[in-house]
Amino acid sequence: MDDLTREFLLESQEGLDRMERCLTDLEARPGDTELLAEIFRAVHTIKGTTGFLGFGRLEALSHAGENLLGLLRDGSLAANPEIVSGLLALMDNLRGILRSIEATSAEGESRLEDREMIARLEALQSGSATAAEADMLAAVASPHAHPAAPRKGRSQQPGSRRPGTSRPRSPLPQKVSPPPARPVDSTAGEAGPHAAIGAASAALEEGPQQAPPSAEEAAPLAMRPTVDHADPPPAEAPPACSGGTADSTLRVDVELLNRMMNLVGELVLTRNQILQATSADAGFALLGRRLDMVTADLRESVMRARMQPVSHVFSRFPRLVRDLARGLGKRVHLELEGQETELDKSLLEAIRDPLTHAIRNAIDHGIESPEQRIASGKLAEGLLRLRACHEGSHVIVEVHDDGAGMNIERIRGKAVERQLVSPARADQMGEREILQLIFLPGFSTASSVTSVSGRGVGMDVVRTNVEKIGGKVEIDSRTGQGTVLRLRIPLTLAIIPALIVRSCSQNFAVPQSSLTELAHLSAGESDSRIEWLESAALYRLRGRLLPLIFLDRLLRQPARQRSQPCDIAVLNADGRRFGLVVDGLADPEEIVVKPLAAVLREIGYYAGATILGNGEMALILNPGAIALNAGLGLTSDVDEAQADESRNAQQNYLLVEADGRRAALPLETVVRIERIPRSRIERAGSRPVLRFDGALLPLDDAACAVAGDDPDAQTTVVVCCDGKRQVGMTVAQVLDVAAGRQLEEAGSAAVANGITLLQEHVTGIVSLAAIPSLDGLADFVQANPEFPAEAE
Amino acid sequence: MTNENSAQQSRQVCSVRVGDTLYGVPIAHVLEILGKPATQSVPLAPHFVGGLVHYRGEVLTAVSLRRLLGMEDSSSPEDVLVFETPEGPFGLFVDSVGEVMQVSDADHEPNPATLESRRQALFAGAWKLTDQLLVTLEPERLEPVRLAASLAG
Repeated sequence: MDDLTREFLLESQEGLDRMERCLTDLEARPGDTELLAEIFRAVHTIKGTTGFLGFGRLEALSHAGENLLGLLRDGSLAANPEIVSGLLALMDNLRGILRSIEATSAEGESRLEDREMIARLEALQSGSATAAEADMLAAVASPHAHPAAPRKGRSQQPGSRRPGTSRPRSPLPQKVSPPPARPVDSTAGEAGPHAAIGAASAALEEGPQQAPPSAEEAAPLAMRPTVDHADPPPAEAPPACSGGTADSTLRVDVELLNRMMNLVGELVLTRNQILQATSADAGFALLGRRLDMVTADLRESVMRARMQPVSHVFSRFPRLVRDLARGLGKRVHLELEGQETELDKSLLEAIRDPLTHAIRNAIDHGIESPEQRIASGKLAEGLLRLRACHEGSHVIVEVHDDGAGMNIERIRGKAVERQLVSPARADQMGEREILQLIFLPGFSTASSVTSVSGRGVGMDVVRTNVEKIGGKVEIDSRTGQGTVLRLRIPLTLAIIPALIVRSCSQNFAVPQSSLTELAHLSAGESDSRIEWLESAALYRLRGRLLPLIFLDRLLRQPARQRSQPCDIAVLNADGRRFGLVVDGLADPEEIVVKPLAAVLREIGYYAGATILGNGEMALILNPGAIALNAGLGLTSDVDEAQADESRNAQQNYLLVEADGRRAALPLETVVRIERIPRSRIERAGSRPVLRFDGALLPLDDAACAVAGDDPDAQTTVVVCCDGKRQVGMTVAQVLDVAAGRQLEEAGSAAVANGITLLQEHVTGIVSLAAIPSLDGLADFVQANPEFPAEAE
Repeated sequence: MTNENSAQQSRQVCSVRVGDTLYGVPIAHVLEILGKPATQSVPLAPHFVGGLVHYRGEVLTAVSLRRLLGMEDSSSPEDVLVFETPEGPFGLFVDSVGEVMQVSDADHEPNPATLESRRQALFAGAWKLTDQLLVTLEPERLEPVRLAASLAG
């Protein structure tokens, strides 16, 4: 395939995507001339280029569509659902042909289908507006139709004389042979003339009664390209097609981006190794830091290059929702929110199908028929809201419907009937757990199989696909009020934070996303605190029994000695909580996930491998697979989740003492608590800084550790996340973790900021944002070459 | 190919040693030779997988020739040959990599019928050197996916 054709395919597909968006909007706002202009442009561009490339089928189809769209644009026809359906069908046909061209470089043969389509479009043209009416409508609608009018005048340029002359010919059912027109193409050197000739030559049998409106629309149509390409009127550019960005953006092969991501990953590893190897040498420290900053920046940039707004996926849903709702006789209003939220391209692709499934489900099972809705006192039109937003290192995508909600008893009954759970077990299950059952393979509550859903596939596919990319699915439903399905997607796949654990002197990486807490057992404790129920090992975690899995036994490594100290990593893999017993912990690291060969993937316990900062390799564990394999259920999830909810009502704080005062740090911001010798705190100018995990932390020296005389004295540093950056705070001691209560000002009931009630004391909350950032530090370092010598 | 042609065909073969036997791999198949790299064993992996090797930013699965032949694991670090396949590269652990030899196809003979069946599948005949035999290894026969399939079947 030549470049020109490839370019054409890309452009056409983008055009059709835009068209699809606009078409569904058009149904809501039938008179919107900007939408019509946008749709018209998409079809027109295809027609213009196809004539030139010699794709006859595309040309004929798009021409027929253009005629109809011309009438709509001029206001001589009003868009109605039939017309929108017709245009959507046309779009599908065009897409099909584009696919065929992409695959085989040829349009394929399907003349009959084309003729039917063209006939359908023509019927739509004549169906609702007679010529007389059209004239009248045109007169009435002329203020709206005017985007086309000024163009006529402006585009009467010498270069476009020929299109002008073709005007009277286009409505006639004649055959203008392209050859005589070709010379014009080459001399004019613009898209305009081709399109005009296309318009004229491809004009198919049109009924004479359409002559007046056709003549009207043929003229602006023929001249449009000149306007588009040579003289784009800025005022007319609809917001959807941001022509201005075309100059500053560029298409990049995803393969190249993947390669870049891979190389950056390598660079991160090399950086880690260099930092470890040179940490002792002060001369390298400066270089190390610069390398560190540049690498971090570079990584960020490459990652951003792979990001795409979720609107790329959302944009196809208006059409889907429309078709489904019409097919099921329901009325659904779709609301899209947070379309600009960005997500890694590969992840975006991966959530496309799950989201489609979820939307099908919401419309088929969730939203009721208009009659039912009115009977239950709701608006006849159901609301389906798609929302995307950032939450920490995740993107949340929600599918929310205001339908009937899930019937817990029905799910319970169905699950028993399908023998997914035993009746006894089903009776014990709480609501939340029952809801989880819909994710089991083979579950469906639809009373009958419809064309849309009810075949028992769906929710388990949603869950599997989302988990495959390291995401999570949550569901929440209120009877009579609706259902929320929440997909929690990691921002990026390639680099993940992980904790390195050791078992039988081998490294394993545990993704931080599933790690909830760690417990260390000393040699004595490892015997006494691990309890046994027959063959099942258990650990009492805050009074609740946590099932334990010994990593060495799981992997059939040589069994460890009893009475050895060990660590328990408490993991939560999609609601399955367990403790993974390992020999020891190493540092947390940001690791680059490397795929494993197929023969090793089959083992199932590994999500990949990685190369650590010290050059050693580590296998990345897949907590979900380990939990599933061990037969862990969601049993403990219910109470825990409820406990979570009640805890969420208050916020938890880390209570610390610094400089004789008590202060509170929001617990979710705390990354780590470290005991370090004072000498490790360095100074960059007047600012205290700490090298931590190969990165530089700005410090709030609340405990005045730097001022102390004894460089070997230990001090405690609490490392916190402040948005995207990490900051540290020195404290005299960490007192406790406690839940804080909001304080309200007497009288005004305004919530007091910056303070909370902790253990019956009013305590100030540390403002992490107030810790100055390291911006400009690089300049400072450059200006002060002796800086590393000063640091101590 | 006629006899006459093949008689003139000579190729370069990388010689590797495992135990007491000398093996030869046509050099065209060898992507790279890694000298005693750090390795990482994979618990629960199929027996023939010797471990993982860091190779140009990727984590390479390496097959152990010793394990394939049912021999004891070597006590000293091993060399790794890197082979390219359509599914990506893989490695082969050998005791040591020797010199590159020039062999002629005329000196090549198929596996003897008396060879044990397991080795029949792994070896692709041998070249007759003046003083010893050089067992022919074809990387295709050693691909992890293929080995896994042949072991399962």
